[in-house]
Amino acid sequence: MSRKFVSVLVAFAMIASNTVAAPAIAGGPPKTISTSLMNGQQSRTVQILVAQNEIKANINDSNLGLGFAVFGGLLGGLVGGVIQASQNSSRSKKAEALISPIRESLVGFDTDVLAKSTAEGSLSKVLWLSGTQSSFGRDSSPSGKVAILDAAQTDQVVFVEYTYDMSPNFDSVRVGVSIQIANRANPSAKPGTKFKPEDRIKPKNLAYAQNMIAIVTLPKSDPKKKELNAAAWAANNGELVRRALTQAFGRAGELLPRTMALTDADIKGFNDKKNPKRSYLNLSGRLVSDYGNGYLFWAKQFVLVESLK
Amino acid sequence: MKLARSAAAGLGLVASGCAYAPAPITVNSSASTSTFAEAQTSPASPLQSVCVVQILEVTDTRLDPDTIGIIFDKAIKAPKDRTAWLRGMIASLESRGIDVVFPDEIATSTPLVSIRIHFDKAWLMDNYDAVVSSVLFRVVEPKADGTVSQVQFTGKDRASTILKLGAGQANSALDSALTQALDSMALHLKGRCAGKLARRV
Repeated sequence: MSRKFVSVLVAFAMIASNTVAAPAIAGGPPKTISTSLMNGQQSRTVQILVAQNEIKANINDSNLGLGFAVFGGLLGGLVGGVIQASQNSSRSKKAEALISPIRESLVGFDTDVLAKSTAEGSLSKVLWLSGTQSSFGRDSSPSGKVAILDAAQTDQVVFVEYTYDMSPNFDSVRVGVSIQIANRANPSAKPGTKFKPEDRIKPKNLAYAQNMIAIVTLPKSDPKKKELNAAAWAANNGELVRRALTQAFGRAGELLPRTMALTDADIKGFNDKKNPKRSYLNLSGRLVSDYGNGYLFWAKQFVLVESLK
Repeated sequence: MKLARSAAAGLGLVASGCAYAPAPITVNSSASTSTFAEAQTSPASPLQSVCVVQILEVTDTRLDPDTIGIIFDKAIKAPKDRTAWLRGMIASLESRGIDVVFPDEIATSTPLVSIRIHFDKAWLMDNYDAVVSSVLFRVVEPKADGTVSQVQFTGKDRASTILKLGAGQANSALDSALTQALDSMALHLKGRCAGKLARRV
């Protein structure tokens, strides 16, 4: 395959990528639960989603393409883009190799049950959702959510979606939760206009959307020694990674009702510049409070960072 | 070539991300075409032809048996007839030198081993430009003293995606993982048969 063809492919990919990355939403969904939503008469079901069967690996995205573009213009950007893609591919391959023993050490550890029980336990603390029927599924794809909405016998579906992975340096385990409330009917559809089923799950049409992350760090880890970190998680039949996942899912469960109870005033208070700055990996925000063995900060979502207990 | 593949994969990611709700892909992988096991076994061994395994039960224990992955926002679905799909996988042990007797079949010779097979995992996911597959079977063998022995068989694969992800790639990734797991299951069962035969002699 000629280099010219590669450049054309990359250029096309980059242009198209920019198109996809551009937000197609005019105004995002509400980030707090409104009184009208809480006290409304809408019937709801809860759909717990864990769209993975194994812990995911991650990579630090290479920024070479951007660097080359800044200093070398379009041609530099194209060259940088090719090198960046290759570098990312190589990193992902290495990450998969490192995470393999961790996955094997987790055989028999039921993360699905952990997610399901944590979600059900924490949702029972959200009073206006108490008594709502919940079910479990894996298909968190847009078409999957559309199918769930189509099959729902209620006005709204509360999607509680879990993701869990290792940080790129293998120095922490992360559990992310995304909560979305979608309407079965399309609220923005005008009479006489064509209705696209997937419009209901577009951010601008959601009744509510919020995220949170619970991170558990490996004690005495060195972010520059990912091989050692990965081996430590996997040692003794995954003793540490099992404990970390249990701890992170538990913390995520604590944060869920708190997140759903947030008010605009709370968020304004979190963002107050008097609060000290905190950051972890690519997330940065303002400190909310100390929490367990770590701290909780607000980075447009709750981020809890804590060392393994 | 490596660079070209990465670029093409990037393009594929973009292309697959264009639709807001891309249609799911349905796989039909069964690992039945594998020839790995035949290559690994010695044709001179008399044990191969007599390893009759009674399957007491085959159960799909996956929590959401309909979905076997999400790749670049696209759902990967199991075949509609999951019972036939699973049976096809286990039947492929025949091509690995095991005489499989399903619960609805009558054995022509006395089974040496009786097992229950649980299909615990079949999963595909993306990692940057690659499709990662993973499967897990659990074989439970009841013993004469009332206890059971349990052995797990895993398979995994990682393959770079070229352009847009299609059913062929999903099948191939899953097939590779299934082949590994079924190969190791066949080797284990042959070992069990050999042990039983040795005790009889």
